[in-house]
Amino acid sequence: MKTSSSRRSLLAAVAVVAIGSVFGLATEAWAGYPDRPVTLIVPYQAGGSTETLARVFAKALGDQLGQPVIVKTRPGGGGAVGSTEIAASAPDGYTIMLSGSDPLTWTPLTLKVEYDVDSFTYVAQISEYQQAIVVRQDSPDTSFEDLLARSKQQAGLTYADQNAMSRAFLEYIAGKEGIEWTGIPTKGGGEMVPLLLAGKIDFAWSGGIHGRYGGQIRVLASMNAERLAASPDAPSIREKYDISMPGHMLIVGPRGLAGDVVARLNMAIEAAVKDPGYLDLLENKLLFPSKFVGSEALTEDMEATISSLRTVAQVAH
Amino acid sequence: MDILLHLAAGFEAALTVTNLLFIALGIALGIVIGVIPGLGSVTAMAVLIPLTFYMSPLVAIAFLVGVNKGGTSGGAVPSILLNTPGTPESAASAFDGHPMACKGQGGKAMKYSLYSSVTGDTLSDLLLIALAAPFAAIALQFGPLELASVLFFAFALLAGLASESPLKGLIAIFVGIFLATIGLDPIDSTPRMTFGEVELFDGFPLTGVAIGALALSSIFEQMTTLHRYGERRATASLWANDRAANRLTAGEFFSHWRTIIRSAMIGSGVGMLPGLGVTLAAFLSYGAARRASKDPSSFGKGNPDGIVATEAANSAVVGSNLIPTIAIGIPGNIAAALLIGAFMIHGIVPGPFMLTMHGDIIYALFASMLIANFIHLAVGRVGISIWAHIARAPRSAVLPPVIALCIAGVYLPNQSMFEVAVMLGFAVLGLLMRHTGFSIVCLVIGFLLGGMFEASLRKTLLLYKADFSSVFSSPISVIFLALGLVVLARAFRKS
Amino acid sequence: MAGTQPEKTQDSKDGVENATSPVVNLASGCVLTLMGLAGLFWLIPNHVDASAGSYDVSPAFMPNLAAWVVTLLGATLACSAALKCRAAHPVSNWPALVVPAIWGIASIAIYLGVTNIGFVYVMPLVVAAGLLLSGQRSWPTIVAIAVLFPLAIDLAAWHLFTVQLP
Repeated sequence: MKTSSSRRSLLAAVAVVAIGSVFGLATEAWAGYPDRPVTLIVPYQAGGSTETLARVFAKALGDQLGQPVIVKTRPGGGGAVGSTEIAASAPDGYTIMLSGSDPLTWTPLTLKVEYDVDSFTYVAQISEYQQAIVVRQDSPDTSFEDLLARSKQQAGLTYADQNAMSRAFLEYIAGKEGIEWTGIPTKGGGEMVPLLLAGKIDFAWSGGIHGRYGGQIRVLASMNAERLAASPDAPSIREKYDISMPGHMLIVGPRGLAGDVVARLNMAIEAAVKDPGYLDLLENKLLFPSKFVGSEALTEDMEATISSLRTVAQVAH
Repeated sequence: MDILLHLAAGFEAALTVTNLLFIALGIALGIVIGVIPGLGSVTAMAVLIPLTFYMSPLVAIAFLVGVNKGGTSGGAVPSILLNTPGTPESAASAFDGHPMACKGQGGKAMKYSLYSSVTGDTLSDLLLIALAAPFAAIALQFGPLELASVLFFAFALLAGLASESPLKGLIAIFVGIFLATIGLDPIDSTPRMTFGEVELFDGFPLTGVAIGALALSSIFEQMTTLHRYGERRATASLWANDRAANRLTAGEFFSHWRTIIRSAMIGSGVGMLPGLGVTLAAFLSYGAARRASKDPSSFGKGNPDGIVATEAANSAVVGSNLIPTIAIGIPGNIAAALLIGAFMIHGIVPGPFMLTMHGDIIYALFASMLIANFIHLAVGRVGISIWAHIARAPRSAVLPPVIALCIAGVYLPNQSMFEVAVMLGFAVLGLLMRHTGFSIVCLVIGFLLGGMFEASLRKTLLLYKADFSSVFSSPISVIFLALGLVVLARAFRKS
Repeated sequence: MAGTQPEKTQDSKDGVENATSPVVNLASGCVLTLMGLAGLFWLIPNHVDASAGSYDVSPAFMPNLAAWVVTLLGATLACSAALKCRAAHPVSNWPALVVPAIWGIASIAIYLGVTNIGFVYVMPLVVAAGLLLSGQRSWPTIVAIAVLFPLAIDLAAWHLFTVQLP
């Protein structure tokens, strides 16, 4: 027969062991991920700036997660093919995607695809495309207002867009202002720049490539929610029309990703974006700003963005 | 004189052991990857770019340019030896290269291919160095209208490849054009006959179509022939032991100087103008060589001009597609776009300031490119000796594994079984066309040109608001439209 | 003689050989005409959005153009072949269809096999079958090539390109 003190200590010991093992198990689940390599899908062509960035980022992230992160390119449909794949992947955290936001948001709103705007879990944002309305340096328009005024006098000014979303946004603006613009589709900045510099078009939508051209290309307005850091004098379209184009470069997983996996990824990504090699590449060489937004804030942001997009999409169709 | 001074400094910087080693490595890798059907310069460079992070900028870019050079010449190896193009741009080399190989002159054909590649490349590099700035100004003027005119001219020129049976050739071209319209509309982004298949949004992938219709269908056909008639009929030996048959002297090679220069010019021109692509350059050059030849009917039976035209042109694109890249920062084609990415990673921002801010590296790069051409010659010659051994193996043993290689090669770039399916489908279509007498080349040309032509035509309509007088405001488009009409008129007069 | 004509197609540059039987041309022409009509009256109207923006032509323009040309030229081919058929009585050349059909079935099998079972498992079978078909008779060679080659490709793909074949 045990004495009461030893019974107490026995109970205490059992309690400690019990509680300890519960915590231990939780830490097991936490520490369990990742226990094998993680695949990072990039839905763009190999060799493009996003894909190159992804590779450097993957290395930094892999260092943080303790498991290699392997880049898998799945281009096609402006990001739709990769998005279809991630939406269909198992939500276990071993398949994630790095992409811009338009294949995740605009594409399902306007085209028939096998996924929807809520097929994804938003894990983090790591950068932002510097989207803008630009003109060449010797254009008569020195400000966005100039452009609007000239458009009212002269119908049918031409511009270049690079995807369906940019076209829709510019048409939305034109609609709100009661002016008529003619859009010429181009496949990327590389096609837009010669058209703009040669004077064949009056203005253009840029996804950030204008940053390489210094004084030769002037920014009239920012298409992002905020003014662009490099062009603080150019107003954001949100100031005038209360809409903005999502320019997020973000990491997503399939819908239903477990909370602790998301948290683990958040921690790792937040640390990875501070990696000096990655930062040097991102900011100094690829000329993207580093911008980290965690999962919760990002999910809220994306919900607001998607409703804003629905507005524009409805007008467009 | 300034240029020469800069270039001399560039040579000094480029002639380091590391640089030379990596150039050689790049070329060798490029050739090997080019040999594999479905893989080409683009995939090779995309895969190797991350590896260059740890290299110095000059070595990294020189390495990648070497890969590009090797990749465009490697595709000719299976074209000639197995009638199975390794890359779409080498497809036309099979037309005359394979018949030469069947006569036991495989070695000679390969040498023609290598020497043409190197010569075309060198000429285009010289153009790049000497004339980047003025040519870039021309490239800048090249918009949708000019593109449409050049494509019209290309169309006129290449329609002549169907002269055997014009009716069936034309049908094949238009079937190709129809197939090119499947996908998202280039202007509206509305789906056209995609049946909800997201992988079709960008249309059928060119590599899948070209490798399937040209390479894999050829393999299937050859295997069928082997099955029926056995090895003896298929080929005596692709590489006759008779060394004289396979010798190619410099004199004999340069006797084709007209074709060499014409093809290098075509390749350089196409490479420099954004949006056209290396496959178009190769076919255009082949078509032009045939048209200019005194004996057009000898093409397709073993006329070395066919090889020279194709390989000089597709290699000439490599140098000239850096012209708009270096002068204005825009890529001439996908390979150049990859190089831009590589430049950026190494801290060289492409754009109008490239030459002024990074002049020393750029000139060192120019020097490296010129040196690379000599290295290419050496590495290629070694390669030829290696391919010679493979060529001696019986075709029945070589072809089936190549099927596996094709499937892997087409799957690899985008990890897409869809692309493999496209390849297989077009291979069967190609077989059907072979057995019913329709020209596969015309199908591929129609597919290639049709998509580009429609996009540029409609953009032109939008840009100029269907104002047809604007055609005359662009000298480039006037020239090419006129040339195209001349070519068509001559074709009509002949028939 | 019927149906046993030796295969006339060779590895010529574009598969165009000089003596396609008029019967085959007639068949091709008819098939093309029918497919063209199907395209014009069913495929395009139902699967292509026909609205055009200002100054532009509709997305259906080019497909329709191509389909019309194919239909008309196909009909022309069929007619001219029919005339030739009437003039001479050529031999039917149905074997022309057999080879593509067989390879078509093989291709479907290969595709399904690789996608569902795996490259490394299916390709050795395919390569072995191919080797046998092409006339290889030496079993050691067949096994060696059929097993080693796909395996080597699979390993190379992973180690060099970090790509997993299916």
